[in-house]
Amino acid sequence: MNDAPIDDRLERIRGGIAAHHAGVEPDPSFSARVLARVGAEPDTAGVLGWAAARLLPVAGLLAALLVAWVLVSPPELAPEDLLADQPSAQELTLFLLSGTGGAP
Amino acid sequence: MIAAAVMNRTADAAQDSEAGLVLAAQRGDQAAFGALVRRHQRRVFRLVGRFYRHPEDVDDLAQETFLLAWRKLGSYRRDAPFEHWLTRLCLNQCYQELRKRRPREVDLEAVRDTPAPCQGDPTAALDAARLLAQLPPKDRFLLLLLDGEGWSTEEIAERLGWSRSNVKVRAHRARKALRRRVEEEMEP
Repeated sequence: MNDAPIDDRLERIRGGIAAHHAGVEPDPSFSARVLARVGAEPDTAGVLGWAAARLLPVAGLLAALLVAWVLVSPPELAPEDLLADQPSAQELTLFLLSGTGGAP
Repeated sequence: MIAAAVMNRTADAAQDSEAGLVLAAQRGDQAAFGALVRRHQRRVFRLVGRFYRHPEDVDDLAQETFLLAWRKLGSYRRDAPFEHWLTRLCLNQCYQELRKRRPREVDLEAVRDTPAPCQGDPTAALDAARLLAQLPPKDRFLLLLLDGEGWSTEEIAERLGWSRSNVKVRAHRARKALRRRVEEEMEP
């Protein structure tokens, strides 16, 4: 197919695309209409603040319970504490002689 | 020299005042946001008008763009101009809307009904609108930015936040798709 007529038409179409525009301008009340919609938007910060205020007593109660539990419960031994005392040679000998050391 | 310095100072002051308006709007000041709307509304209308021809559609989408800007204002980082951020929001909004709508009725009706404010060959405008309406939204979107706005692929990539290679590939496909349509119509 001869490409020249196609190229010519494509060139005209490009011109048509360049002219493809609504040419609409904002009317003087446009910004007022936008602001009216903005004003009707739910206030996200307000909603979050309200939710935080509602949750505050519950969060406080939970914190108090946690503090009380930490104070009341006895401290647990750390694994290092359990391994701190090395068995003496005598204890090891007794353990092996007692036959519970897993030897055949 | 003095004139250039004065112009620079004026531009700086305008930027400063815009930064102030943005900051105030980010803190919830609706009046400041109103000032930003008035400042950028013509640009947004011009951009939306590229994709839609019915005045109601243009007005609606421009409103949606500003409403989205208000909602997302918290995510705007002030290291880039506000105008660029708003342009990106607007273009994304137009693109999403193009993908949602069926173009065939919408665009063609509009071309016939709306008195063409455009210069140039009216048959070419009608031909362009008819062919654009047959293309997938992403092809239409890119051709309107390339041939309509006259943006380069680099400019499109920068304004949309897409990669350059992505825009180049899409632009190539869009041009090819348009050419194929024309070839089909011109086949004997």
